[in-house]
Amino acid sequence: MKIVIIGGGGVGRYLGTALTEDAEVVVIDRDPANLAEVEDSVDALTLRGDATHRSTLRQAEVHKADLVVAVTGSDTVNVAAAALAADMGALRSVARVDDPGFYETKAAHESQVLGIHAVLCASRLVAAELLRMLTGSDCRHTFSMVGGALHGAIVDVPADSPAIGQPPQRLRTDGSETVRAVIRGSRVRAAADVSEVDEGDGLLTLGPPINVARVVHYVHERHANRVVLIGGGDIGGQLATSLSQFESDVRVVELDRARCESLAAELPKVRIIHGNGTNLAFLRDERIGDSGSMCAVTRSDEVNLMASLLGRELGVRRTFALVHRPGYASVYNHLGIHGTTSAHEVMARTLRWLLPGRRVLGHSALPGTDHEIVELRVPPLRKRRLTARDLPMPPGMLVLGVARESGELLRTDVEIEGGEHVLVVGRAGGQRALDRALSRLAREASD
Amino acid sequence: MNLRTVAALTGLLVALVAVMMLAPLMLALYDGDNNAAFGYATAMAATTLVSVSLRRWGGPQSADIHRKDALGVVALTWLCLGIFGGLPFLVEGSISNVAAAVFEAVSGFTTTGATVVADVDALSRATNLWRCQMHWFGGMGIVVLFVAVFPQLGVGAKHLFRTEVPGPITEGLRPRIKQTALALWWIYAGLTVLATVMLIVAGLPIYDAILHAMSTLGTGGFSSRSASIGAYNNPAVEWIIALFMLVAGLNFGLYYGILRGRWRDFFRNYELRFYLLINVAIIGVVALSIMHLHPAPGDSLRHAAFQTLAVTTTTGFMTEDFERYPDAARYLLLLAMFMGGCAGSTAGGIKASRVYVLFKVALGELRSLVNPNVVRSVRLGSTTIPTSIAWGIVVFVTTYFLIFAVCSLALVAQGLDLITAMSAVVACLSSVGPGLADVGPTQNYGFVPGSGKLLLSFCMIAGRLEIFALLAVFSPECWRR
Repeated sequence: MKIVIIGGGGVGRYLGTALTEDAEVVVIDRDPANLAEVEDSVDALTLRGDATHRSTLRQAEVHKADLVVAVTGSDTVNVAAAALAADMGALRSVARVDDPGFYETKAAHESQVLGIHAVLCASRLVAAELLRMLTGSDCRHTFSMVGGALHGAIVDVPADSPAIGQPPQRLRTDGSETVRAVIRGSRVRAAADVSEVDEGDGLLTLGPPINVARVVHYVHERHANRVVLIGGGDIGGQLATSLSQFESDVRVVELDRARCESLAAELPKVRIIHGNGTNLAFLRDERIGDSGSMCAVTRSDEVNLMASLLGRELGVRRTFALVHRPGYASVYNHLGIHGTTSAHEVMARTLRWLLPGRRVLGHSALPGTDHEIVELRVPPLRKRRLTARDLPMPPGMLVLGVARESGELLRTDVEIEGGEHVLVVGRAGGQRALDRALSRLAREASD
Repeated sequence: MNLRTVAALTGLLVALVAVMMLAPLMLALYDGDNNAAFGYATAMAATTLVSVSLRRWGGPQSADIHRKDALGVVALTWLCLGIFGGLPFLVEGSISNVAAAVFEAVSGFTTTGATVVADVDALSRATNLWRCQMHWFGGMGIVVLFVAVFPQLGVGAKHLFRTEVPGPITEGLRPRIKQTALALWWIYAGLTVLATVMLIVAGLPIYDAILHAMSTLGTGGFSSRSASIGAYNNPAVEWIIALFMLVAGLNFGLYYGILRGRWRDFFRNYELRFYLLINVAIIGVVALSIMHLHPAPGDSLRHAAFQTLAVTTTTGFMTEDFERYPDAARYLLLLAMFMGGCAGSTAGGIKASRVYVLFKVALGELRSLVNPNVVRSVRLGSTTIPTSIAWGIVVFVTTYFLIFAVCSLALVAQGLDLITAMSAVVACLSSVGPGLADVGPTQNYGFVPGSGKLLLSFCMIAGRLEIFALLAVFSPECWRR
C-alpha cells in the first residue's frame, strides 16, 4: 500500500510515523527544513515541491497511491492538492480543512467534496474525542468507531438510576435507539431481548457522540457536574456546544475579550468567563475547584499543562488536556492529568480507518466480558438486497447496527449497501471468522 | 551513544560475517584442503562466539537506534570486519603477521584491493574466494545488507544506511529504507550474475569468473592471479571487466530508474555525464601516451581504457604495469585516484559529484570577486545544491586532503619514499589498491611496517565510510550519554 502525505510539519511527521507500518510513505513539502526533520524521524521517501503543482504530484506517483493526505497549514493548499490528486487517479484523497465554515454539516468529516474522498476537520475530531473522554469518566469503557464519527460506551447502571425498570430500547435520544445491547454478568444480550434495565447491568450504547453522552448522563443523573473549559477557540467552542446540550453547568474561560463576546452570543446556555486560565487567584475567585471536570484546550501546551495542574490543585476531580506536541502526552500523564489527546492522534486514527482494502476496520474489547465489538465494511453487493440481519455471520455473533460515515446508526432491519459499516459483537478472537464470512459474501456477490 | 544497543546490533552484524565464512569453508572441504578448512572453521567459531557475547551483553535490542548509535555500530562493525576477516589468514597460515592480516581483510571489505600477499597464485582456492567475497559484501555494504535482510528497524535503519552508503546526497529509491537496501542488493547481485555469465562465455573458468565478477562489481581489485587480469591475456575478458568496472562506478540508483522505465533520467544525470567526460579524456590522453608501447591503436585503447577505468572506478585491476607509462599518464592516473567514482556506487574516492560541485563553487567564488552583488545558486543539472550541502562538500574535500597530508607524512617518517607514501595513502583512502613506485601494480604492501599497515587500514575505512562517519566516533560528543 502506498500513502502520499502532503505537508511535512508536525502532523505530517506524526502521520508518517503512524502509517509506515501499514504502508510505504512519501512525504511532500516545500520547505527543506521540514523535509530534513522528516528524513530524520520517519522511514519515508521525501520529495521537495509544491503539492498544488501537478508535476510534483506526478513525481510522487499519486496515480499509484492508495491514499493521499494533505495536511499542510493551509486549508486552501490542502483542498487543491487533494482534489488534484483525486483527479490524477489516487484511490483515495483526504484533505485537512480546519475552517468550520467550509462544512455543511456538523460532522467531523464530509465525503466527496470536489472529488475528495474525505475532508477532515481536526478541531471537530478533537472535540469529539474530548467529549468521549469526559463521558468516559462515568463509564466502564468507551471507544470510538467509524473514524471517530460514532462513539460507544458501556455504562454501568447504579442503584438509584432512573433507567432501572425501563426497557433498554426506550432509552432513546434524538429518536434513535442508542442502547444496543445489555451486559448482564458476563453475558451480552441484544437490547431487544431484555425486558427491563436492572441494577448492575452494563448498557452498551452506540451512536453519535452527543447521543451516547446523553444516555450516560441520564443513567448517572445524580452525578451531573460542573464542567469547565480553559480556552474558547474552535475546539473549546465546539466542546461547549456539545456539553451544553446535556450538562447544566458548562463554563468557558477565555483570555481574549472579543472571542468571549462572540462565544457569549453563540452559546447562551454556557457561562463565558473572561480571564487567564493560569492565574491561580482568578481560578479561585471563579470557584473552579468545585468543578467535576476540567478540559484545557488552548493553543499552548504550556498553558494547558499549567491550567490542568492548577485545576487539580484546586480540587477538580478529573482534568483533561489537549496536547499539541504528542511527545508531551507522557509528561501530562506523569503529572497526574487524567487524559490527553491531540489532533495528530485523532487524525492518524481516522486515516488508518480510511485506508482502503480492509474489511475489519476496528475492534474494541468489552471489559468484564470475553466479547469484543468489531466494525466491518460490507463488500460491494451488486444487485443483491440484504439487511444487516441477513449477513452470513459466524455463530454467536450479534449484529448491533449499520453505521454511516456521518455517524448515523441505523437499525439492523434496514437494507444495506456495499461500503456501509456494520457493527458486530461476539466472542474475542472471532475477527478472522468474520473476515472469512465477508470474503465469502464478496465472492458470492461477484459471481 | 547507548553502548548496549551498539553491542547488540554489532553482534548481529558480526554473525553475518560468520555466515559469510561458510562459503570458503565448504570450498575448502570440497577441495580436501584440511588446513584451509581448519582456518575457516576456527575463524567462524571465534566470530560466532564474539557475536553471541556481544548480543548477550547488549541484551534485547531496543526499538530506537539514534544517529550516535548508528555511528557506533558502523565503526565497531568495520573494526570487527578487519579483525575477524583477517582471522582465517592467520589460522590458515597464509599471512603470519597480525597487522598484515588486518590490512588484507580491511582492504577486502573496503574494496581497496591492496594486498600484502606476494604470490597470490600460491593461496588456497578457499582463501582467494574469501578475499573476493569480502570485496563483494563490502562493496554494497554489509550494513546495507543488514538493513535489507533484518526485521524492520524503522528510522534507525535509515541512520545505519546513510552512515555506510557513499555520496553527498543519498537518494532513497523506495519509500522504506529496507526496500531501498533490498533493491540495491538485488541490482548488485543481478549485475554480478550477468558479469559472471559473460566472463564464462568469454572463456574464463567458472571459479575465476565468479571471483572476478565479485571483485569487479565491488570495485575491489583482488584477483586469484598474481598478474591480475593480465594473466588471462584475453581481450574479451578485459573489455567485459572494463565495462563492469564502469557499471559499478556509476550510481546504482540510476539502474533502479532504468528498471522502472526511466531511461531519460539515466542519460540526463549530470554526475554521470561529467564522470564519463573525465574518463574519456583520461583514456584519450593515456592511449596517446602509450602508443610507443602498443603501436596498434586497438591495443593502446584497450590497455588505456582498462587501466584508467581500474583507477577511476577505484577497482585496481590491471592488465599491465602502468609504472612503465610516461610520467604524464601516471600523474593523470594518480589525480584520477582522488576523484574515484560516482555517488551511490560501490567505488571510493571523493566522488565525481563532489568534484563537480567543488568546481562550480570555485567558479562561483571567482565570479563573485568580479560581481560581488550578484547572487548565484550552485546547480547540479536542474537541482539546486543548498548552501549547506555545498559547504559540507568543501569541508569534506578539505578533510580528505588533510588526512592525505598527515598520513603520507607519517608514512614518509617511517622510511617510505615520497611517491610511494603519497600514492599509498591516496590509493587506500580512495580504495583503489595499487599506487605508484614501491606500491605499484606489480608490487604489494608487504614491506610497509606494521604501524604503517594499520595507518593505511585506518585510511581505507575512513575512505569507505566517507571520513566523517569514522571521525565522529573519535569525538567525545559521540560517547556522551
